[in-house]
Amino acid sequence: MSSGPSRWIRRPEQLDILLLADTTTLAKRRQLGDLLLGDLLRSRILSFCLIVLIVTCLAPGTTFAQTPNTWQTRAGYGAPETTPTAEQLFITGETALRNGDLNRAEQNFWRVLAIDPHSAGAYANLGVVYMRRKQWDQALRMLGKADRLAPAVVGIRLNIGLVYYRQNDFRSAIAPFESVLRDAPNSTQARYLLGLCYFFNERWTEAVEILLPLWGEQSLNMNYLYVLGIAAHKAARTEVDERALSRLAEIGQDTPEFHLLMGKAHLNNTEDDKALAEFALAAKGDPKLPFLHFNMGLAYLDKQDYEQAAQEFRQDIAVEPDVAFSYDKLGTVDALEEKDAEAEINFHQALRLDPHLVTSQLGLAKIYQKRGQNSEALSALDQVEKISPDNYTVHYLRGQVLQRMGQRQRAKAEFNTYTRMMNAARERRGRELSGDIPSPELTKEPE
Amino acid sequence: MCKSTLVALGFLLIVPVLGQKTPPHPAVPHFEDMAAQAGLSVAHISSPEKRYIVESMSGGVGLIDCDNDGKLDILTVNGSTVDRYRENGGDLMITLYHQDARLKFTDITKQAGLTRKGWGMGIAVADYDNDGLPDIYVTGYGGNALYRNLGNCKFEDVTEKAGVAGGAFSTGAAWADYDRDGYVDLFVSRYVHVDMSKLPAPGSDAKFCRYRGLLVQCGPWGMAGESDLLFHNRGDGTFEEVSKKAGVDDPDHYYGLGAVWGDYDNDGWPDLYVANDAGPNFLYHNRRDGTFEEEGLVQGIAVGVDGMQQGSMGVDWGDYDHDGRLDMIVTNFVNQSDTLYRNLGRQGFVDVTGTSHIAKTTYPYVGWGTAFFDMDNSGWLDIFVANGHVYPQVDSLPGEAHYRQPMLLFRNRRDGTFEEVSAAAGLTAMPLASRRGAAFGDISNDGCLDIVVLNVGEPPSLLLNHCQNGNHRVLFKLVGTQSNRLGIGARVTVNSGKLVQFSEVRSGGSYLSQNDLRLHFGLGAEAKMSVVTIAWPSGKTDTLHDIPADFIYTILEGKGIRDKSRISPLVDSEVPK
Repeated sequence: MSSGPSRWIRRPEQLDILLLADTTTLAKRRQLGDLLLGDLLRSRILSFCLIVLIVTCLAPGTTFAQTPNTWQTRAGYGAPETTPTAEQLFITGETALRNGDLNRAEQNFWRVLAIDPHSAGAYANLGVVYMRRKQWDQALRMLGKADRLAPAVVGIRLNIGLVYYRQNDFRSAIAPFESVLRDAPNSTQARYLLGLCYFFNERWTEAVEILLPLWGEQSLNMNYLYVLGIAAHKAARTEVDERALSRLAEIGQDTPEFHLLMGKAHLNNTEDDKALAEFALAAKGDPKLPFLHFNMGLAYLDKQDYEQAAQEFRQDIAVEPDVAFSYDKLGTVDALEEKDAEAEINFHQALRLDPHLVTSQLGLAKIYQKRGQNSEALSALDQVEKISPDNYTVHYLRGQVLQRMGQRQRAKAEFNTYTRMMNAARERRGRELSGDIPSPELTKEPE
Repeated sequence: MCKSTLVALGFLLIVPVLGQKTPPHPAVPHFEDMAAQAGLSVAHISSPEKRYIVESMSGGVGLIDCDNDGKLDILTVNGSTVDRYRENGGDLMITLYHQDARLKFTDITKQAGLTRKGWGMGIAVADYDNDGLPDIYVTGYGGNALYRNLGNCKFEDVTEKAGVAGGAFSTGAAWADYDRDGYVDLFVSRYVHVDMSKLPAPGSDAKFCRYRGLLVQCGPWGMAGESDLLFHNRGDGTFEEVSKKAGVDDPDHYYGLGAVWGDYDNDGWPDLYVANDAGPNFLYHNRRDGTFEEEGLVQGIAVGVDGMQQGSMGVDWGDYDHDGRLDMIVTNFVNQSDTLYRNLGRQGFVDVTGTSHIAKTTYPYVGWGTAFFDMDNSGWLDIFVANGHVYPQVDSLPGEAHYRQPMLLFRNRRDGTFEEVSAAAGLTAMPLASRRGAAFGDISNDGCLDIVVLNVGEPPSLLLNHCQNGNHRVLFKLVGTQSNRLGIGARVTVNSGKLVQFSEVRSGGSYLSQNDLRLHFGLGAEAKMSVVTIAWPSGKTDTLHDIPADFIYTILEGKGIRDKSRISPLVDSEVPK
């Protein structure tokens, strides 16, 4: 994967991938800057990986290319001459997939499966079709079947990881990526993605360990350097931190992209004024730099300067009208300013662009709750729960709505669920102290 | 007429006050730190580095009239350090300053017999034995202390005899007669489990001992929490620990800090609110049978607006919007605004932090001591917040909120919003400090509410309120006969002009602190109160009519006014130079 400032500008085809991120993690953490940077990273990495995977999965001579021979032998017997063979169907499906004709591709791969229900290649490519359509559950089902039929094919597991990754389920993505890396230690993609998953899960030390070997090929990639630098900083790997940041400064020079990154770094540390200063420098170089105004909006939001924040989000929308996050955040600002009607419009728009945006669904739920539109509120909360089953605040808000509806028993049950899930989350944090992170000092008396 | 009907009528009468045309705001009163001149010179003890969490949490301050001479005396918690605690068992837990003459104080700690050593955290005052003398309870790490007042500001340490030592890392304390048997009971919140022989080294954990990349003290995340305690007063000078039986023991062991009693549902029984650091706060509803039901989540007052837990420290109840119901202010950790919950009655509480305009100002600070208090005698409750970070190391972070932080003062704009007036009040010009507890009361007896604030590692501040603006005011000192002697839990409702306001006598609150037990009301332009009603914990009600303003009244349960003294403004010669 090439890198450097010129790669920074988001290409149009990356947009749909960018929109995959939801705010489940955002709500949990105040590291929006990290995640959004991650979005940029993902947009680049995923585009690359997807192309590689499709090629990997479908190119003749690769693992899956061997499968049609099997179909030929199985489907060939007794088949009328006018009936296409499994191989023909597969090739037609492959071509359709390459051409972006997903319906035709899907149809053909299903027909392959009708002839040969054990075709790992057909399942794998159906997984790709559903991934493209963002039908994640179906994609996982297909890829799971493919994996069971062809457990040695690392590309399938990589795709399974990607399905989780694209849904921002970085925790679930870790296992498949780890597995790929075990079998294919030289896989740059798997390594990079795994590193990012560790990063998003705040497993800083592991993130550094996994990402550092990519230095040779990625040390001109500003995003890589930024992530590595942040992870190293959090993991107290000072030498790596300094090395990454020095290189970042060296290659970034005075480019708008560099200033945007530096601004994000400050934003992560809630150094809002410093972040804004960097963003101003970025704006000077490129006022239409993608995500610049979005991040400025975040900084102002952090400073609780709602008016300015809203203005920045609007500016971002003017530059990039299809970014769900901007509408989501604009809706959040509206809600904070009690402009519920405007907030509702923006949340709806955000959800049109990305139905998985938890914050927008939650925002709508709160507006409905406030207005006493209890059934609408409950319905929005149901959506949130579907998208983000680990989100315990859903149960708190649902409990509140039910309480107001006079359904005390149901409300109580929701509050109990909230407490149980919250305590479990607290315990997980507690275990991390005594378990995952070795801390011999804890049992030792201090010097 | 049944009580609920009365409450409902009261609601109807009171609601229109919010937003109606009201007199213009008086000038913001000026506060002046008189601590040094007044003789408050003992520095709070604290290590400069705050290597351990126990070194960051102390402590509270208190107001008490220990000899019933009509002048408030001042208590401050002394704190300690790990080294001093290990070597000498800590330090004297509190300092008592006697107010000899107006605003002239003398340290009488040792003469008073307040000599227990330990690691003081908080203070709560009550007359647990109903002998007419206010007693002192001190929370601390490693054990608490109950000092029985023998008269003339002499105290006897009765901790063990009374059975209220508590132990572990006690923080908040609040007295109330929760079963209305005439004797005050004691709630004690506790924080984290700290083993002095196994202290986690600063920065020893990559997740829980770091802040913005800095190596700092560990906790509270990652540390085991402690249960809370409720001591039921047997009426014979001893107590029984009943927290589990009563349902207030905190089986999840959240990190308990500030605690305050208040009758949020107007049913005449004291309920309890407990602030938990990094966890949901508790609202214990009094079930009138000696037990409580935790309703924080149900009532919408446990967590932030999104259901997220906050790092809560200090607490206070007050009816800031004059709707006849107690609202709640909670101070929180940095990057979490302090939270204002408005009490909607049957619909529970709603978080109005954003719309009340306190969010933005409080967001960058770590909030501790707080209160609703009427700073300018306008009849409307304002808000004060003492701030200060827990990590001195943050000073090395550029652009960060510093360890020493400003105090904040918010004026009630009488429309549900508040306006920050710290600068106009002179608070911004005061030296920054890392502050903790704050206690509120009319220390100079001039009708203006003053504030004592604990400054970590430094002597306290005494913020003298120069509020003389022509507004009228009144103070009530309550003496229970059937109820507990200090009238803790009694509710006084004052009708003056168009305003109806009420307050309750409370022990504890703010951040581990004790306010003046006398109730203060600002009356604005009204020179008299048409009706004053005192609802005692015993269930009795006293009603007084046409009471002149500008007095300090002593009211005896069932007997009415027993004593009164005119409030006199401070004159220049009385202000210590």
